[in-house]
Amino acid sequence: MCARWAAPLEAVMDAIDIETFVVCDDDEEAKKIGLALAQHMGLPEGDIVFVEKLGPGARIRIRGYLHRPGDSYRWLRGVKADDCCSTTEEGNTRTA
Amino acid sequence: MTAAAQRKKVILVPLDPVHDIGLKMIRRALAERGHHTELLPPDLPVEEVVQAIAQSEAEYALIGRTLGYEVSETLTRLADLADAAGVRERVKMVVGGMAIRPEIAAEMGFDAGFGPGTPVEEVVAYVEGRTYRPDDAETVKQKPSIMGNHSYELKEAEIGTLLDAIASEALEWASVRTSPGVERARIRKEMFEVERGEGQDSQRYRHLRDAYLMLCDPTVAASHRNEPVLKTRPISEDERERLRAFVEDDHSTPVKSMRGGVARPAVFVQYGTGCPTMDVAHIRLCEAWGAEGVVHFDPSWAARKEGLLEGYLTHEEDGTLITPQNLSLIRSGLRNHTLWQVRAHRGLNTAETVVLAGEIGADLTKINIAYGSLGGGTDPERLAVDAVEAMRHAAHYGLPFDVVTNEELCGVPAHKAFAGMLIVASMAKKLGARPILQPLFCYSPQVMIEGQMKDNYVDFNAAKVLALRSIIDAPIWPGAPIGFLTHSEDRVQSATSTALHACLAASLGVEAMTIASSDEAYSGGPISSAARVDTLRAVGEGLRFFGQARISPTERAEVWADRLVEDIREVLRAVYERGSFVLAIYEGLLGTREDGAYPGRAGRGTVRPV
Repeated sequence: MCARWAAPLEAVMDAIDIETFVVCDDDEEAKKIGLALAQHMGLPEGDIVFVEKLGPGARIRIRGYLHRPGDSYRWLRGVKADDCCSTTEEGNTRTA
Repeated sequence: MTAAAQRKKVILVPLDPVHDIGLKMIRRALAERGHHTELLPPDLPVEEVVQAIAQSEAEYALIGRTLGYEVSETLTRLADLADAAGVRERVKMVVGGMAIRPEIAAEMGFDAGFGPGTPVEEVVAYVEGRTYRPDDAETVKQKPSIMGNHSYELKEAEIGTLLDAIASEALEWASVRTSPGVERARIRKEMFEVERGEGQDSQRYRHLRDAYLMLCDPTVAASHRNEPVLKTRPISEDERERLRAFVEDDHSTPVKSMRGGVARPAVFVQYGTGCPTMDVAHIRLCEAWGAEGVVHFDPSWAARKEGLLEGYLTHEEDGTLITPQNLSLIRSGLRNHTLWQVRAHRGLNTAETVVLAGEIGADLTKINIAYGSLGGGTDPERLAVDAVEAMRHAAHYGLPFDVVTNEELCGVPAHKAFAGMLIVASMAKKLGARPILQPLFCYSPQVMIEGQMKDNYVDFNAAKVLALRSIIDAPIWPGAPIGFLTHSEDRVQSATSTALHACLAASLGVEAMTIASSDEAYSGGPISSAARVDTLRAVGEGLRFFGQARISPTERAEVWADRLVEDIREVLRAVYERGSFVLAIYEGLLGTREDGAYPGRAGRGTVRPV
């Protein structure tokens, strides 16, 4: 198994944003959809960064932080793109 | 010009109906280097293309494809026909353009593929069999100078006289006073000197450290005994080692330049995620995307404690703690060409922070008595004493500093904030320091109420720069960040607003600017790395768009500039007549409670006579 693409979430420096346009009646519904979408896609602690309802729906950006400042950053573990690696039980990638 | 024996024969093939600009640029570059080129008409059927290649003496066929429909089918057919015609043994088949990805080109059997954004020089290098190296101008950067050749000449006679008198009074007042902050800064400076000579284990160093800790808040002193500090976590040696490896790995990564070969303001970004490790990661990406300077943000709670914490500490909330170790760690992660500012503009450690900044290798700091008192929560008397000491240290270490005017964000009108800034700048000049004026480019409470930005954001911001230039010949560094209060949570709007303000700053010919990320208005979490790229990219595009062209303010800019100068004059007259800069701050001459300015309380009662 090869490195970063085998455990892609570990390569994310801090946050993942999902941006899309959802069909909805108002901002509140858009937020509910956004949070449900975050949960559905496995985004941790999803939060609505931006929402604006115009026309048939809302432009929305949803965010989840994979690494917050002060965490132990998995991208800092020295794994390189062409290193061989294994995934531990905790899901951490380590160089072989 | 390439030697005759090395000149190549190249046939260029635009497969689209009209999109042959890229190939024409490549053809021109190849021709300039002496290669023989032939450009086929666009939109030939692939059969005719293969026939033309076969009949030519070309060694290379450069095939361009922009349109995205039937790409695979067309290119596969072209490759198959070329194989069948036997031209592949003689001609290297290369495909490039907007619709091309190098990996897809390889799958189809082409000799090379160049995707969108490929520099012409890279294709030329391929034809010539050279390894492509990006232009040195894009990768090898020099640390920019942002001080220019300014004389600090005061151009308005009366304003000059008033500033001279007010600054002299303030310095004389401060010269017979001291504070724990002043004394700690002097001890800290001596500690650095002793550490370099006799080492940290020497008796003299230990005595100095004991004297230092006597002047510290108990929680700060505890950190020097390796006791835990609330809201913080020590950064382990292993984490520091991994950070060093991360920086080393990134060492040779090319970086973008926003300059494009012309004089532009240096672009600064702010960092201060709370964690020095994450800060370094963000700094590295900002450097790569064109930032030329970085500004250290520290938490306000730490600035209100006497003394600086000790150790490699990561912090749970916004703002990265200023400790000697944290600053050294961050310093080790900066590229050589990056300007580094450590702020010392408010709080009880102003003078000591400048000492640390100077000793650890910062290029710039930030000091302002008026803002630090009226918007930064520090007692005016205490900050005046400490800031004068800080300015002396800044002069000693050769650290220029900006004089920030963020009290505008509290509601203080620009002319009052500018009066305070000019007084502090005048004090700095008398102390041999090098101040930089920092007007805000912002949608301030003043303009929300008075309507100066009802039509556009250009005129009033331009008026600020024009007014300051009519008063003094000094470097100007709008901040901080530019476009303050114009940003929304929408990243496109936010990055666009910053980019437009950046273009205005460049158009006005200022020396530097500090920009936000596109997360500026998002309060739900830390600034993300992607948000930093958003804005840097937008600013880069904006600067590229305008180049050396200029934005023209309307005539209102001049009118408002004249008005600002007159209002500044009135404020300075009032401060002069009051006879005390410090009392003028307490009494609201540089911003009243009604404006939104409140003299701070941190450090009140700690100033004593020398």
